[in-house]
Amino acid sequence: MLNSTVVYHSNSYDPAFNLAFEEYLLKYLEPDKIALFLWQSENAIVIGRHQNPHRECDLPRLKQDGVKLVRRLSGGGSVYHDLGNLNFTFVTAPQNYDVDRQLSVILEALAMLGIQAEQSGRNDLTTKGQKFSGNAFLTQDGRMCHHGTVLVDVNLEKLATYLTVSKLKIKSKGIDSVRARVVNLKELSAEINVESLKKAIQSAFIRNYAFEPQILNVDPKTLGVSLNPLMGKYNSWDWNYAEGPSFEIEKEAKFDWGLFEIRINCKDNLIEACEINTDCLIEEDFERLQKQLIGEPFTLEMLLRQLNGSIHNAPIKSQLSDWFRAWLA
Amino acid sequence: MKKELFIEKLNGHDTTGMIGKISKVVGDTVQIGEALFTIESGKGALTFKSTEEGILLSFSIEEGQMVTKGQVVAVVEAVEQSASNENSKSATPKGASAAYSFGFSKPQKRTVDVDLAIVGGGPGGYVAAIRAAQAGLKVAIVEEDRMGGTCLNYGCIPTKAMASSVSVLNDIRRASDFGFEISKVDVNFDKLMDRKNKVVDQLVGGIEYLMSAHNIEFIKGKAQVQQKNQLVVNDKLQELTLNYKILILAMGSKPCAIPIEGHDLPDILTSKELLSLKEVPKSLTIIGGGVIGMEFAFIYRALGAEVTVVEYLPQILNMLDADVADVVRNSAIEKGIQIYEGACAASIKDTLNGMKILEIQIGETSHFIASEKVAMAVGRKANLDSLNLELLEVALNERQNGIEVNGFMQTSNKNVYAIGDVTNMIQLAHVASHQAFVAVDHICGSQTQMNYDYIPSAIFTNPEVGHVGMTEKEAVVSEIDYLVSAFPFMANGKALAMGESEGFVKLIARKDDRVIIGGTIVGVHATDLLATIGNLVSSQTTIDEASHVIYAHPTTSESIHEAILMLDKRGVHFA
Repeated sequence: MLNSTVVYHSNSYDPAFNLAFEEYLLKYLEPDKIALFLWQSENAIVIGRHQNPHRECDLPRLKQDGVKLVRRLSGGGSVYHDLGNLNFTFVTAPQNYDVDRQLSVILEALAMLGIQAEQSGRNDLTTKGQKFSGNAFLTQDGRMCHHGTVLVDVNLEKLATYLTVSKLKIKSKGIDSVRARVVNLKELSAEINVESLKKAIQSAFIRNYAFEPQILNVDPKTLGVSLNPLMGKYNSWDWNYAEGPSFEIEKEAKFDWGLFEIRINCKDNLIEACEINTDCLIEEDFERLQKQLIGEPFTLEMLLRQLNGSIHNAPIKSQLSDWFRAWLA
Repeated sequence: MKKELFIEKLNGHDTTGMIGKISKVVGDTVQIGEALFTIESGKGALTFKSTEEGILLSFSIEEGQMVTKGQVVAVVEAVEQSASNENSKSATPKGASAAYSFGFSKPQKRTVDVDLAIVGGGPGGYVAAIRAAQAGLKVAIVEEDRMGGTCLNYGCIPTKAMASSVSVLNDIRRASDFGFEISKVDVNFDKLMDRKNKVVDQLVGGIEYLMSAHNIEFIKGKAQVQQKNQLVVNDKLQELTLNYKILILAMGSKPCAIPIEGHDLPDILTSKELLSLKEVPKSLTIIGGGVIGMEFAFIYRALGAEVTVVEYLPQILNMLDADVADVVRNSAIEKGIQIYEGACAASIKDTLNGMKILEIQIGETSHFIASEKVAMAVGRKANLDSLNLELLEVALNERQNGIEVNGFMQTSNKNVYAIGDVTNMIQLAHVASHQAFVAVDHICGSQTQMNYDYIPSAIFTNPEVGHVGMTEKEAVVSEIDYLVSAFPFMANGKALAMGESEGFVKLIARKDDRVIIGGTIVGVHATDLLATIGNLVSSQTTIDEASHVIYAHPTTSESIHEAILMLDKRGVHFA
């Protein structure tokens, strides 16, 4: 039985904080409540629970532009967040959970702003055939979570850049993102902005559930203490990079000294198996490099360290270093 | 009894899903309600939990595989035997308790209230924990790595395990002198390191046992300061709040580097890496000829590396008297170790063929040393960043390189004590352990202060060195009128029989009251023999009292007796 509702507005643009707050709701929200949580991220890629960051995004570019990469708990594909995007989250117990009803809140809000949109399949919201909202779901600790993005005025150029991987053969046992044509709501209505959308979603939520909700601001200053443990996870390499399913990654390049091809199998982001093939005629201990990589974490630092310890020829070493850097920076 | 686990539910009305992340392996023990893997379907993620308690016998799935509702995914050897089910009444509470032990995989939230919390499980922290438990305090100790700290895991113990291997090797190499012809010795470095790891594992296990034997709450994880009198430890396994009345900081130290060009090259070694190399390097240059540097120099030289030691000070092992350092230096040179003293390391560079070049400066001239590996053994810095000391209101010392403490090991915050390397006073395991005694005893009402006058030190070079109290150098500087003696092992029957006749026992006594104030042993059994001199020095024994003790024959300890007698020029076996 649903007895009350609560709306949380986040004061933080940090995806680690906001995802930690979502998880906090999953753990502690009373079973007779439904929570609507509205939040944004400054500049972040958020990947699905079972995704491989190497496969989903241009990691060197992310690093270069200071884009934060965070793994979320729910399934689905990768999304880019900037301040032109609004995220909504519904958390409640299974008996109160209804994806269609939750999505209707968003659709009603858009209608208030004069935008006709529809549910496409079970997961997306589209308008005139173009997607502006992706949704994902999660069951944990006896609660269910449904969250989604709404593209209002997102930098689509950046979105496309960050979520495009350079030529790379990678077989992941995880989930691949499905590319979709996306559209900013801004292009459909000059009036809409993130603030007006927030207000509209909140009114639609109140109307739909017919409770006078508690409306609360969520601030790292006041909640930081209880969220720190959870935030630590969303800020950790272990969770964001290593927590995905095992994968196989393959990369090759042609250098003036020959073809270099490397295949790596990772589990828990540790290298389980590695194969290096090269037609290089210079006598170099590639075999040793291959041997040294096994059991090590799949990071740039480690690759460079082992490269340094195994390969002696300076041009080969420096070219491979540059190549590794461009790949994994 | 074998029980099959199958997929009861997927997201919504989904009938197929994909296996995401598997968090258990075959052979693991699983509890009812414990997460085994995650499944994703229709953009929803959910966790599959075991419905049985027992041992995981097999998985019929792998990551990335598609599964359908109702499919069998794993087989568990369930704990409950059908035979023991006769009494259904006793089975029920058992099932209930199993259900209650839910979710090892999700953070367990709990609060622990103790009298004393200790951060750091090294020879400071764990000794404090035991001492406090013995005094009746309720104690919790938090360690993020393994119990035993640097000493057990990355310091004293593993180096001694390696040094022991090397000592066997040296014995084999001189077997011919003793009447055995051994044609060839092969070094199996993997096995040597394996043995070292086993020694470490056994000791770490022993300390964990000691913790439980004393009912000490052992918390594995990284402590963070929450507020006054409260720490939290948060990770995948736990969300723990630790309320304490008194806190002891024992966070230890880590190797530091000197800021020369190239110090941050990715493959510069420190003691930690020297303990985990996968093969013996062809050549190794060690910056720093102190205790750590010299110990590794002897180890890797014996294993076949070309070893060079570069010491900035005018003498290797610079705290020791020159005659003592001479013995170690001569032995090192004889074994083929290159030593450059008064040499300043200036830069490290990579060569085209994968070597390292160390540039050193001796006086006005530059020299270059090429080697496969370069290691830095230039000291250790306190782990001051691992806790928020400001929040604890704990101040640093004047040089800002350690936590400031008084004689009772109390910091600027009266309820917080600090011991061991983090105080950066004398970075030795046994100092940390003794500081632990002083701190805990003070917490329990004692007024005994820490005394740093008689700290023994043990150096595992070849030959070994043991030292306690005042050196001759220090006696000269403090302008004490002193007597000095040195009895060479060459004149000791046991040492000669063992073929270990290098080195000597050296003693220093005050001339006026004839109290023995210091001693150094360099040579066979030096570090073990040292305890005798430690007792003489710390109980301020006079030459006359000390000379009455009878020492067993034939032992190397007779050399101590002789050195005592020689302080009065009455030595029997050496003239």
